[in-house]
Amino acid sequence: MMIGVAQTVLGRISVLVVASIIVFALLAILPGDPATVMLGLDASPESIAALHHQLGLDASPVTRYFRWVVGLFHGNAGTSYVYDVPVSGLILERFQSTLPLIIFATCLALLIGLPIGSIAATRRGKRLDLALMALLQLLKSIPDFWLAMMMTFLFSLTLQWFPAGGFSGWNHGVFSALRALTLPAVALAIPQAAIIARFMRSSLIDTLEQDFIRTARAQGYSRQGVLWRVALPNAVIPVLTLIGIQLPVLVTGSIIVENVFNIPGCSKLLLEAVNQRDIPVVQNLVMLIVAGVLVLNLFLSLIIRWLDPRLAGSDA
Amino acid sequence: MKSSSVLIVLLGLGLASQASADPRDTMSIGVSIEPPGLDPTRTPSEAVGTITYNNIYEGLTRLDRDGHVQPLLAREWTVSDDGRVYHFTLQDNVRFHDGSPLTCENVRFSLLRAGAANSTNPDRNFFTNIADIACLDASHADVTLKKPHGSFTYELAWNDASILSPVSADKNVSHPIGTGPFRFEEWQRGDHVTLARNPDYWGKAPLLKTVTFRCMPDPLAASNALLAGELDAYPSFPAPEVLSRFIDHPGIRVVRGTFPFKAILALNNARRPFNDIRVRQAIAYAIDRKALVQAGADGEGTVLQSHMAPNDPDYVSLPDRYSYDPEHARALLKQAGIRPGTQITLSYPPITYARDTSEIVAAYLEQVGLIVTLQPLEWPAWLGQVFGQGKFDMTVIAHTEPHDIGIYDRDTIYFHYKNPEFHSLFEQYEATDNPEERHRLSVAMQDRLAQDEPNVFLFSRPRDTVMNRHILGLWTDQQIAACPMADVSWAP
Repeated sequence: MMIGVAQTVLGRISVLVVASIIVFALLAILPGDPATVMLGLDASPESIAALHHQLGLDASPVTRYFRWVVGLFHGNAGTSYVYDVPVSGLILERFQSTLPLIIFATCLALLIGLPIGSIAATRRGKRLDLALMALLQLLKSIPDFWLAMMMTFLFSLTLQWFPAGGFSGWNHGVFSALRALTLPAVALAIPQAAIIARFMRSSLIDTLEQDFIRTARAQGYSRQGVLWRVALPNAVIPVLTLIGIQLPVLVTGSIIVENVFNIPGCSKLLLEAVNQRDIPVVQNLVMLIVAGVLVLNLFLSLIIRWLDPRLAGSDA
Repeated sequence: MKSSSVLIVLLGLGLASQASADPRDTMSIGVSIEPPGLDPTRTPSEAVGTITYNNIYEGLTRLDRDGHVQPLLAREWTVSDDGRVYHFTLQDNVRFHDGSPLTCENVRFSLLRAGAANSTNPDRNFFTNIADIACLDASHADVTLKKPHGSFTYELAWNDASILSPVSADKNVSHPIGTGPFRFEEWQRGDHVTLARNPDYWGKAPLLKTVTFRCMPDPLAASNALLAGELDAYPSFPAPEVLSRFIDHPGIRVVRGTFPFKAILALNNARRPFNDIRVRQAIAYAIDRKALVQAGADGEGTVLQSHMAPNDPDYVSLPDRYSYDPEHARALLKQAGIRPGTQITLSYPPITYARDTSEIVAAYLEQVGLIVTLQPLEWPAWLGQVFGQGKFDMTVIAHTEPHDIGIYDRDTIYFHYKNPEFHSLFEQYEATDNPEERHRLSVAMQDRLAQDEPNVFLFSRPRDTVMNRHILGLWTDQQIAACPMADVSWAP
């Protein structure tokens, strides 16, 4: 077990190193120069050269790569070209909306997806199952930006239950912050909920057909008892893996949702930073997302090992 | 019981925060891009100008909404007979937001810093002509130029010529300090910048207590916020196609104004075949520019004949030398030895007008036998490749700086235009500060460009401001990126 975990952790670290090289190289070969972006259409070549020097862009790519990585080991992620403030503070500030948004959306997706999937599985082939499956297919097909637009139109402009966009932080009260995050979280959660529900349905159907279910029934468990105590805990395991796989999808989805709802989150920061060639922000943010996905997967695989000891030998 | 009382408290917090400020002395203004810092001496970004120009920072002079130079921190000035020495008298009782007084030393510091060898000021070349600044006393500054420069007081009105304090200048990116009617209050990056009335302002006190500039790049999110009343105004609304949402709204009006928007089809004058004037003329004849105007922005706009926008005080309506004539275009191309089927590339940045115009232009050029490859570029890539290195055949771009005909005299301009006659006209123009003489020379420069057609001058477009009907004093016309808020108020 311990060796397995150590192997997994080492594997993840090597992924991080490779990712850092790819991210840095991609940004280095990307056309566009941060200095010309900042200084605009009127800039003189002397001003551009002076800014290059100020930003350290006149060093070789290899030097710049090691400067970045060594800085990271010292806990220094560098300074944003555009804002001239430490990248870490900038990202931390934006995390205050993105992290709650993604957690909120994941919880909503689970709260909606798991029950619907379970109900559909237990009514397999019945009319309710067919209706739910058709609904899920529809929800899964809705693009999140369209859903976001329609929800704003209905709930903000017509009913005025929620603000039309923006997020002014947690200082103005938890309630108003959550209210501002509700529509974006729903827009992000609904396609995810549809995927989770379909997955949960097939996973539960598979489980219910296993021999140990029949054994449990034969031992005298009631149909409901088998479902709650035996079938559901087993069926949920693959769904946990799915959440790990879907996290990057949530992050990319949040780029669109944060823009439509004008939420100053990490994804919006990432898009702006790419457009302005704020390289320190882009490379650190992308690394953070890679690390986040790896850590979440590691965490989930540990939970799954704990839930299902048969998997202890393999890298789940 | 317990959880419901928590909910009530939370509800109360939410409501209290909404009702805390009197809505009539605050205003929220939408901007389409996040400001890259709040230091205008570091970037010409439109967002920085909109938020800071004459709100936070002030220069010796300022431009009014029609583009005329007015006194600001310099109460008055005289110019020596040889046009080289400017004698400025500063306003009295001016203090920076940190409490320090404005003296001649601040003028000296700010203008010399802008022209210094390591300066990253986007308009550094404005300031390298300054030979010396002498401080006779705290309220008088004598600026000596290396050679006479008639546009000097005009250039001093730009945001990157703002007068700063040496204590705070390097921290202005995140903590701007100026002498303006509003103080910087907070910046939540990606969301909003809040300014508060400066109680110690030397001039007329601003009418609003606070102004919040909210960054709303998505036109849909912005129009939602305007319709929901979360935004009071949006100058330079970026998407004409969304404007129809406001037509029937009783509380919102859309005002069509002017700004120095000059869309051009820039041609690489250093590259074959564009170094041949007949080819440039042929391209101009091949494009129906009236139809281009009709195709965009509800058909509003003006066909341009030279590099000058109709709202510029020096603008003259020149005759249309290149009205649509594809036959003539084909003949000119034949004369120049350009065979049908010649391949050229048209690069464009990711902006709606540039993409739409490029597609139409490509179709027109194919009708006279050229084969056009459209090359969409991301904004930084366009700036790097086309603007920075001048590596392109043709590109569609709008120049929005005011009165920038001088770029045709630059050694390092991306379209590589060089013309001795234009150069001599520009030298004469900058050598004088006589207004009539300058106007005459400006017209001569416009005419020179119209004949030479270094680029195909396409069209100018209006600028739409969406705003609450009860707002008074907001600029709907402008020459430079600015949204001065000192005179803006709510109708009683």
